[in-house]
Order: sequence, then C-alpha cells, then structure tokens
Amino acid sequence: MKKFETLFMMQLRERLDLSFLKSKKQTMFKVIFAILGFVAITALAYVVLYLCQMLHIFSAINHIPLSVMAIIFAVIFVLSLCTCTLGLCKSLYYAKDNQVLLTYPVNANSLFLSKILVYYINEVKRNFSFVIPIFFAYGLLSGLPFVYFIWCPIMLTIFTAIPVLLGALLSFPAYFIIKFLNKFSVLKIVLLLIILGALITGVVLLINAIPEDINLIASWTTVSRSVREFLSWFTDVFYIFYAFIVFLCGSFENLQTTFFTQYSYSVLLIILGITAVLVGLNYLISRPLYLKMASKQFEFDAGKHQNRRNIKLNKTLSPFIYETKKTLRDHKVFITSIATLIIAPTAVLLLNSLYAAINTRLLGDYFTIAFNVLVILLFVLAHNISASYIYSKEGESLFLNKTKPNKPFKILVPYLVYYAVFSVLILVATTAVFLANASVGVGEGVLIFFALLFTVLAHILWSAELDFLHPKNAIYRTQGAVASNANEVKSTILVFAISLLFFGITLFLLIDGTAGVWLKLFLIAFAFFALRIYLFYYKTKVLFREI
Amino acid sequence: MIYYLILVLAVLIVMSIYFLFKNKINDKKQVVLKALSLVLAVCFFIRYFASSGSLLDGVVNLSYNNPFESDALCAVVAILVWFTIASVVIVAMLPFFKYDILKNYAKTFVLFTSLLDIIFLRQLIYSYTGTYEITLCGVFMSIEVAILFCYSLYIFLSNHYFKMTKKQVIEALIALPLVLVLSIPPYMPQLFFGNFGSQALKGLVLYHRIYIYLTIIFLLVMYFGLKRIKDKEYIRMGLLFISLVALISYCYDYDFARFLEPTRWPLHLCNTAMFIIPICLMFKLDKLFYFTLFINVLGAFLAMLIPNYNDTLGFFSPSAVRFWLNHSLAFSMPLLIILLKIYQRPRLREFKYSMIGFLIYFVAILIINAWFYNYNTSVDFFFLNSDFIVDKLGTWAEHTRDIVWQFTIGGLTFTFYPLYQFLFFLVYVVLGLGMWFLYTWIFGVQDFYTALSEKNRKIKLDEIYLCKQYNVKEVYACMNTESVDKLVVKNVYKRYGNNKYYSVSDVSLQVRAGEIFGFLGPNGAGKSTLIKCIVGIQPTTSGSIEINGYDIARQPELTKEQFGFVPDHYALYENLTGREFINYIADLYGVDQTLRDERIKKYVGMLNLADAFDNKINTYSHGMKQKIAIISALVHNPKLWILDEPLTGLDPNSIYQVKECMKEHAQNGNIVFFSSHIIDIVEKLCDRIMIIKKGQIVESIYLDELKEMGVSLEEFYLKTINEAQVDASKSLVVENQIAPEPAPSKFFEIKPKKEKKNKRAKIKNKNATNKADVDAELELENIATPKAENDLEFDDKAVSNAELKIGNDLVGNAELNAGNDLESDLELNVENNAENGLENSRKSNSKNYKENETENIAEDKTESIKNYKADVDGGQNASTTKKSRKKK
Repeated sequence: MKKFETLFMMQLRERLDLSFLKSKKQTMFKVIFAILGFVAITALAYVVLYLCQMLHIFSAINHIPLSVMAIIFAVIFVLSLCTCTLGLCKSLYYAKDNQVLLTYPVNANSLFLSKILVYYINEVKRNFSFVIPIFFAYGLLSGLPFVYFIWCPIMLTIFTAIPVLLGALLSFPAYFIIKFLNKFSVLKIVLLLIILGALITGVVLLINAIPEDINLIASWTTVSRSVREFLSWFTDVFYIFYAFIVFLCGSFENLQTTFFTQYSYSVLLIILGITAVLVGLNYLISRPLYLKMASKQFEFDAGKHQNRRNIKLNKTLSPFIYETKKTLRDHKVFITSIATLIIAPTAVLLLNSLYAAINTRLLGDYFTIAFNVLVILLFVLAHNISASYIYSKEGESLFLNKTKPNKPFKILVPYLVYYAVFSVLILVATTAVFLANASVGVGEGVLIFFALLFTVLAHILWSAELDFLHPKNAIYRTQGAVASNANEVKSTILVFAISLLFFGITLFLLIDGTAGVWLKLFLIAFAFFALRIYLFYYKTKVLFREI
Repeated sequence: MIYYLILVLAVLIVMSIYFLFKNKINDKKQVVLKALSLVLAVCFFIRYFASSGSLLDGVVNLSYNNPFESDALCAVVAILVWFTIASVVIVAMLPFFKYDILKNYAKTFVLFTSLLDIIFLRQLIYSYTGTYEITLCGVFMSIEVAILFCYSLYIFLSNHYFKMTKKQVIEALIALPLVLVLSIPPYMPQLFFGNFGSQALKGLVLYHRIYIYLTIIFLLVMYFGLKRIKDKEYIRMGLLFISLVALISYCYDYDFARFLEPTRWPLHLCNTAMFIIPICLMFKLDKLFYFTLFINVLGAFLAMLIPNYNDTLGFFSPSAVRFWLNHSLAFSMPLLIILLKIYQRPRLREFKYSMIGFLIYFVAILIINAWFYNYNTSVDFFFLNSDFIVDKLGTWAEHTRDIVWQFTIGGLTFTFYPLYQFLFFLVYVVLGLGMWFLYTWIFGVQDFYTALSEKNRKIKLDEIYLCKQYNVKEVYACMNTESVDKLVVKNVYKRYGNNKYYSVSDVSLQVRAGEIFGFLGPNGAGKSTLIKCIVGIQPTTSGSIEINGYDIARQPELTKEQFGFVPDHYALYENLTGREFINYIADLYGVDQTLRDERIKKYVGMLNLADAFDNKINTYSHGMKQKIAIISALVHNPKLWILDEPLTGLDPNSIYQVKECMKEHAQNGNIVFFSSHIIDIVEKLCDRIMIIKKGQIVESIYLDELKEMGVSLEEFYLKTINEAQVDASKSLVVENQIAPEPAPSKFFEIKPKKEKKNKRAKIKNKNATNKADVDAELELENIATPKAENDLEFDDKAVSNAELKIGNDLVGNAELNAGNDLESDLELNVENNAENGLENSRKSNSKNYKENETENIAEDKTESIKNYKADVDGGQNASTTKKSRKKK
C-alpha cells in the first residue's frame, strides 16, 4: 500500500504540478485564483442561462427545463469519454515515464491502478473548473435549495469515474487503431480526408438549407416549437441522461424541488452498479493487457537501407528548411493544420451564408464584418497555440541548439516558419471567403488581410516567447506531453484576448465612421507585430543564454 | 508710471540686499536667496489670486475679445504671461536644488523673460487687472518682476554669464519644450488657435481620444525620458516643477473670493490631487502619497473616461484644457513618482494607510456635502450627493438612491443616501484593491524589463569593449592569442537560480592541444554543469572560459565554431533521417561539400551506421542515436571535442571505434575533453585527469605519474573522493554579492608530460638549495618572459605555497601570501593569475576603454614582479616557520 501511495503521489505531483504547496503565499494565490475562476465561469454560465430563460428559448415560462441540462450533460459526457479514451491511451501506453515506472518494484496492478486514479483526479479537477460551475449556475438561476450545492459536486465526482473507466476500457482498442493508422500513414490521411469531406458536405447541405431571408421574430413560434420538440425527442431517446439529471437536480413537483426520493436512490444504485461493473471489466480486460502493451512502444523497427547523397545548404537557409521539414513530418501537427485549413474557411462560409440570409441594418453590417474578423482570428490563432510549446516539445534538443554557432534569434525563428506558412494559407482561404461575401474593395481587402496576418504573426511570436522564457523541456522529455501547460493556457487566453480586442477595434472604428478604417486597423496590427518581433528579438538576444 | 517706480524701487532694494550680503556673510547668502525666492512666491501668490482670472481668458484666435490695440501685442503679452509663470517657478525652486539646469534657465530664459516683462509691464498688469490704475495685483507684480530680474541677473553675473557646456546646452534644450508646454495657462491654446472645433468632447469621439492619447504619451515620454537619470533628487526636482506649474495653471480662474466660499473649494477627488502631489514632492509625505497613488489615480482615470463638464466645450476651450490638465496629472504623476522610484513601492501597510486615508476623506466629504447643501444645492463633491454616477449605470443603479436618511441639527438638514454611498465606498475600495494587483503586475513587468535592459547593456558594453580593443566594427579574431589551441577555464563559478550554494565554485583549468583529458567526479559533483558552461548551454555566474582563444561569453558564435559536443543524453530531431540531421549540423558549421562527404563517409562506416543512416532517427536504438550525436560533433572537425558520458548504450565495437576517434582527434593536434564514470576507459585513454567534488576541483594528475606510483586510477579516485576536503565557504553564496572574489585559487594547468619533464630537468639543473626558492624563481621567470610562460610549471611535490592575488584595477598590485599548506600539491602559475587580475580589471573598467591599456598591462606586470619579489622575501620566512610548526 505504501508503494502504491508513493507511486500515486509521484505521478499526481507531476501531473497536477503541486509545487505551489511548498509556499503558503503561492498556495493562497492558487486557491484565490481557483475560486475566482470558479466564480467567473459560474457567472458566465449564469448569464448565458439567464439570457436563454429571458428570451424564452427553451420554455414559454421563465424556466430552464431539465432536458436542456440533460443535453449539456450528454455533450460533456461524450466529450469527456473521447478525451479520457485518447488521454488514457497516451497515459497508459505511450507515456515516456513508463520506461521508468515499469522498472519499479511494484506490481503491474498498482501501476495500472495508480495511472487510472491519477487520471480520475485530473478529471475531477477539470469538472470543478468547468462542469460544476455550469450546474451551480443552473442551481442559482432555478433557486434550488442549499442541499443541491453540496449534493451536485459529490455526485458529479462519483459519476466522473464512469467516463474514466469506460475510457480505460476503450483505450485498448484505441491503441490498436492508432498504432494501425501510424503504421499506414496514408490510411490516416485518407480517413481524415473522408471525415473532412463529410464535414464539408454537411456544411454545404446546411448552407443550402438556409432560407434566403431569415426573420427570427416572424418565425419565432415555429422555431420555438421546433426547439421544444427537439428537447422532447432527446429526453425520450437518451432517457439515461435525463434520468441522471433528474437525480442530480431533483424532481420538480408541486412547485418545489425534491431530492432523496426512492427514484434518486435507485439511480444512485444503478450508477454505483455501472461503476462496479466497469471496475470489474477493467480488472479483467485492461489490467492484464496493460503491462504487455506498455512495454511494446520501446521496440523499434529497422528501416530499409537507402543510400542518399549529402546536400549542402546555406547556413541561414538550412535551419528554416530542416525545421519545417521536421514539423511537416509530425503527422499530428500536420493533420491539425490541414484540418484547420479546411474547417476555417468552411466555417466562415457558413457564417457568412447565415449573415447574408439575415436582413441587417448598417450597424448589423458592421457587426457582421467585425464577427468575421473575430472568427477568422479565433481559428488561425487557435491553430498557433502549438507555438507555446514548440521548443519544449523538442525535449533537450533546444538546449543542444545553444551549442551551435548561430545567433539566438536565428536558432529560434526557424521553428516558427511552419506555423507562419500555414497561417498565411489559412488566412488566404478564410479572408477570401469573407471578402467574397463582404462589400469591400480590393485595396481594403489587402489591408484587412495584412492586418490579420500581422496579428497572427505577432501571436505566434508571443506564444513562442512564452515557451522559451518558461520552457517545459524536462516534462516533455520524460512524459512526452504536459497535462496543463501554463504557457499553453496563457497562449489560449491570448487567442481570445487578441481576437476580442481586434473585434472591438474593428467594430469601434466602423461605428466611429472616420476615414481609413482598414488602414488604421492595419497600422494597429503592424505596430503590434513590430512590438512583438522587437521584444522577441530583444529577449532572445539577452535571455536565451540563460534558459 | 507708478508701477515702474515700484519696479525700480524693488530692484534697488534687492540689489542692496545682495551687495549687503555679498562678501560679509557669504555662508548666509544661500539663506538670503531662499528668502528672496519665498518673497517671490508670496508676491506671485498674492497678485495671482488678487485678480479674478485674466483678460486673456476670453481671447479667441488673438482677435475676438482682444483687450489690446493689436494682435501682435496681445500675442507678446500672452507669451510673457506664460513664460513668467515658468520663470517664477524656476527661480522659486532654484535655491532649494543644486542642479545647474535651474541656474542655466535662470541666466538665460528667466533673464530674457524678466527683461521683456519690464518692457511690457503695463500691458502685463493690464492683462490681469483690466485697468491701468494702481491695484494690489499691479504692485505685487512689479515687485515680482523686479525680483525675477535681479535674481536672474545675479545668477548671470555669478555663473560665467552665458557660458555653458555642450551637455548643459543639450540638457536645457531638451527640457525646454517640456517646461513650456507644461506651464502653459489653459486659455493659451484657445487664444492662439481658437476653439479648434466645437464637437462635444463627451463619448469616445476623436477629440476626447486625443486627450487620452496625450495623457498616455506624456506618461511614456516622461517615464522613458527620466528613467535613465540615476539621481532621484533631480527627478524629484523635475516632477516638482511640473506639479507646481500645473497647479498654477489649474488655479488660473481662482481668486481670494473663491477661497472664501467653502462650497467652491477644490474638494473633488481629482482636484485634491493637484494640491497633494506638489505637497508630497516638496515635503516627502509618504502616507499622503500612497493615498494619491491608490485613490487619485483610479479616480482620474475614471474621470478621463467619463468627463463631467459641459458637453458643448471645444477642444481648446480653457475648461476642457484645465480638466485634462488636472486629470492627466492626477493620473500620471503618482504613477511616474512610483515608477521612477521617488517613493518606495507600496506594501500592504501602505495600502492600508491609503484605505484609511480614503475612509477619512469619504466620511469628511459625506458630512461636508450634507452640510454645505444647506447653503448651495449644487454642492456635490466626489459625486456623493448627485445622481451623476448612477445615471450612467442605468435604472437599477438609480434605485440605490431610493433609501434616504434625513435629519436636522440646529436648523440644518443633513441628507444621506446610505445604500448608494455605502456601495460607492465599497466599489471604490474593491477597485483600490484591484489597483494593488495592477501595480504589483506593473512593478513585476518593470523589474523584468529593467533587468533585461541591464543585461542588454552589459552585452553591448562587452561588444563595444571588444571592438574597441581590436579597433574594428565586429570582432572575428580570437580575443586571447595566448589561449589559442587551448581550453582555458578561469575562476568559474556557477550558481543556479537562487540556490544557496554554487554548483561549481572557483574552477580553473587549462587543457592543451593533443591531450585527451578525463573529467571525473561523483554524481552531482558539477561535471555536467561545468561542461554546460563550457559549451554555452549555461552562462557562468563569474569567471571566464576561452576555447582556442575565443571567449564563450563575449564571442559565443565564434567560440561555438571551435568545439563539437556530445551530450550525456542524445537530443536529436527524431523526424529527420540521420543523414539529414548530420547535413543540417554541417550546414550550421559551414562545412563544404567535399569535406562533408569525406567525413560523413568515414564516421558512418567506422560506427557501422551505413544501413540505417537514411532512416528516420525515431527508428534508431539508443546506441545508434548516440552514434549520430558523435558524428554530428565531429563533422566540422572541431578544435575541442567535448564528450559528456559518451559511451553509454554503445556496443563494444562502437566503444572501441569511439575511443579510436578520440585518440585520432587528439593526435591531429586537437583537444578531447571527456567526462565519464567508466574509470577503466578513462585510465586507458586519457593523458591527464581531473577530479571534481562538490563543485570544486580536488585533484589533477597525469596518468603516467599514477603508473609510476603503482596506483590504479580507481584506487586513486576513490581515495581522493573519500579523503579530499573541499572549502565549504567557497561554495556558499554570499547574498548581494554578484560575483565572488576572484583569484586566490588553485590553478590546475594541464600540460604535455614531455614539457613538464623538461622543466623539471631545468629546475634541477639550477641546483637550487631550497625548493620554494626554485618555485619562486620559476614564477618570476614566468612573468618576466611571457614567451616562455607556457612552458613553465612547478614540480608537483614542490613545497610551493605562494598564493598570488591580483587586484582589480588596471595597475593592479600582486599580493603574495606565502606558505599555507606544506603538503598541498598546489601548482601555481603567476602569469595566469596576473592575467586573471588583468581580466577582472578589464571587466570592472570596461567603461573606460583606456587607450594605453597595453602599457598598463606591461606596467602591471612589472609592478607584479616587484611586489612578488618583495613578498617572497617576507613570505619565505613565514613559510619556513609554518613548515617547522608542522614538523613539531
């Protein structure tokens, strides 16, 4: 038991980064920020639910039906199941720490169990930062009794075990599928293309289905009825989710919410039963296979003998070519880029088709343009979040690059070329779709494109700067991935902040009505880019030698 | 006419006072000048507030409401009014600050202004009083002009007339626009340029935004302009000047009558800032300052966003200019004061003071509002009485004013809005707390960029120093020709982060071409840290590392071309093939096609990698990856080959091949620096080894010597590790000491065995009777004949105990402490120590770049020899005494 505890704590510390516990001040800050984050998400969810309630989207009366929460819960569950399956597949079979853990004097059961438990705790943590606030917001809006706010987190914590255990079971076939696809890269690309093709077809069908003139107010009765019918259909078909939500949020009878009925006890028993069954299945199926599969990844294949010639390249050009080549060969990154390259313009097309169908006034037109800027930036900047761990994921090779006779800027910038190139491609595609649907001249279109390009490049540089200033190489070297990389979180926040900022600026400039809106936007973006590239250069020059 | 009489009279009085005190009581002259400045301030105060504003207040575009005969006269008078305000503040501050800039302004700007004031005195007085009759304002203005003139004339006469240095002229010219812009009365823009549009300034319209931009630009310009100045008192003077002229401009329409009406007092939060800031700067009242930092800044920022003036004001209307002057200053001045470190950064205690101050202010304003409302219904200090704020927030906020408390005392009715006022207070406190976090973040950013800037400055200085040294724009040559074909590590210390101990402390070593050098030590001893410092992965905390004559810290790129590195864990690009990776590395080192083909073919064949060389590295085994790392380190045939635990994971055949490579590399006149735990291999391969323990070098020995002694390396290593003592004090970091004291260290010089033997023979031939004498003699020879210095070395067993310390300045004196430990195997190299001293001297004096440095070095060496000789004579006795004590 002692060994298990050590093993478990060791992995937990690594995964959750509990280093802040050493300092009271840091712990206090962490707790305060966690509470503030919790409150902020609760408030946001409350606002969204309140707006839905106020606009009577789901119900004719001032009320959010339980079926809405059931849909939200179902979506969260499915997403959670997918992330758990893939996450556990990585954590159980592909984790680099297996190389060390497998050699420890602990039995495979302990190792397997500790990994599952660590993952479960991580999921519970995620629940507390996302799922529980939504349910709290619902509770506050619906005026549920105090007991709900204790009952809900406890039950959700218990329920979290189900997607984790299911994920552990599914991770085994997932491992084989991934391995198979990795072996035949062409298949992977074909599969991706099929999925993307289906997606695009769906979008095109959807676009065609959009009526020429959308008038929500006039057709509200019809829309409202459709929404309720959908809710009813969902409740019937996916009754299991609805039943759980009733169990979680209490049944609303005689104008009051009741918990702890016979019904809720029976649901609780079912949940516990399912959990027990899943534990049993994992014990019988996944656990014995774990040890065998976990050690397989260390085997390597001997490649075919080839004899190519050496190619000499220019000293400046060479890093750009080899770094880009290296990134292109990373299937995960490449597939993400290709997917973004296809999905982003499709989404912009769908958005603009919807806008075109809505009869808008001048202010509406301004909003349409600003929303396009927002959506384009969100897609492209999100694609570049990877730049926030671009150096760390190389493990120690970044540090080894420090021994090469090159200036820091020249060492670090080639890593970013891939993202810059794909950003340009995605921007060209999305901006072209946007401009084709907007009444903007060629000159203005060029200015918009370059304004967006400079913004995107600035974000890449900023994200990369976050990484080289606070590298996580050691964790990437041992684990291959970081569960909650602070740089990645910051970069994601930057995605939203920059996108919203440029959305706000665009809207403001359009409404302000002064001349040269796009030129101003271009100049702002250029100034932003110039500042970021200067800071990047300056920091690499001074600080690279110290990291 | 009467004004001119008063003026002449005042001039005579002032001159009399000056001549009276000129020589007799010279030390009290400063007191007189201070008194005169105060009289000037009083005169200005009386005449400024005796008149109700100025006739110029209503002038638009020099024509509308012009009280003078011509536009030109109006312009001249307006400019004089403006310049006189600046002159008064300059002269009033002059005796209280020692800086030349004030004197330079006084003898130029103030002198000319006061001369013109005398010429246009009538018109000046008229512009304030509106009459040519005798008034209180006129009398005091005459005295004021007289004092200005006399004072500036005195400064002119006593400070070399107009003579100024180039630096002073530049300083005065840079500051002049700021002096003038900030002392401008609010009605001046309108007077010269009209209203400049009548667009309402409310809402975020362009004109409104321009004011906000100007505030931010002012803040940035002032911050970046003043932050280079190290003298805080100088900055305080500058900020005090700004706050005083701003206060005068702010009070342009105040008169004594207004001060007599309490309901018109400047008790609005931002109005108070105009008074608090100069008071804080003048009298250094820190608690008051933190109030303004946490409360006024926030208030001013909010006021700038939602101004509360008449919404039909033009861009240049005096009210708008005054509003922005007030709020811009209330917003930016406290920030400037704290960012420029005039006051210490606030801690929790200061925050509490500010909140207590705010509570007192809030309660006072509540009572004053309720009280004064009985006399004037427009009283609404800090918007606590009116619905100005809630009106902006919507109906829900307006409801907070529904709860009213009202009571009557002595016929006066007091009205309060408890809910609104409590919420107002609460929100402000929360915002104040937000300001605390914001400031903490700003300070963090400021510290980060200040440190960054300092580091950048240091790098630039090093670059300039190097260029200066070689008299070129960029340095491509090696820095130190004496360390060509060598690896020279001098007094290297390395500390990670804020660790209490140095991971490597005071390590010095020298490896020559043709050697295979083994570096041993237990885990965590500092081997990898030192290697990381040598290859530039980690910067040293102090000390220097030179490879083939290049300094890794100063010429990183050039130095890195001199070596190839095999790390303890391979770190390769797994998605590239072996060939691509090696070609990439070869490209970085600029290896040409023929050589590259030749070397790659050779090493790939030698290490049996041909079959997998075109496969991706992620398909390789550990050993294959290690082989790729080895090839990549050798592809450019480096002068120095550094290997950190290179043989881990290699098969026996590859180990043999790598060993052969190492031997061949050394035979070709290169250096092989090799760290390993496999002692057998080290013993067979290396010429010399060095042992490190707890970050300090504890032993250095030739393998041949061990063989002669009949001791295996394993035994020797274990004995050394178990028994060698390290100086714990060396490893301990002394806080606030950036770099430890250099020099008094063991200098382990690694030289080819043959040369060493020759030297021994040379020493023996001298038939020296005393080994210490021989050592000393040898050292002297070292210093005196630089060419031969590298060939010299002390016998390992010599009883040489002299430690040489070289001072930090260029003409450093060598200090010799003779005889410390009779049995130590200390090897001393005076020349190298002298160089250490010179190196440190160079660093500490890098700003000076003395052109005669070469001469200084020569002088330094001569001086060292003299000192050394003198000290050896004295030190020898000490050595002998210690020796006999030890025997006992």
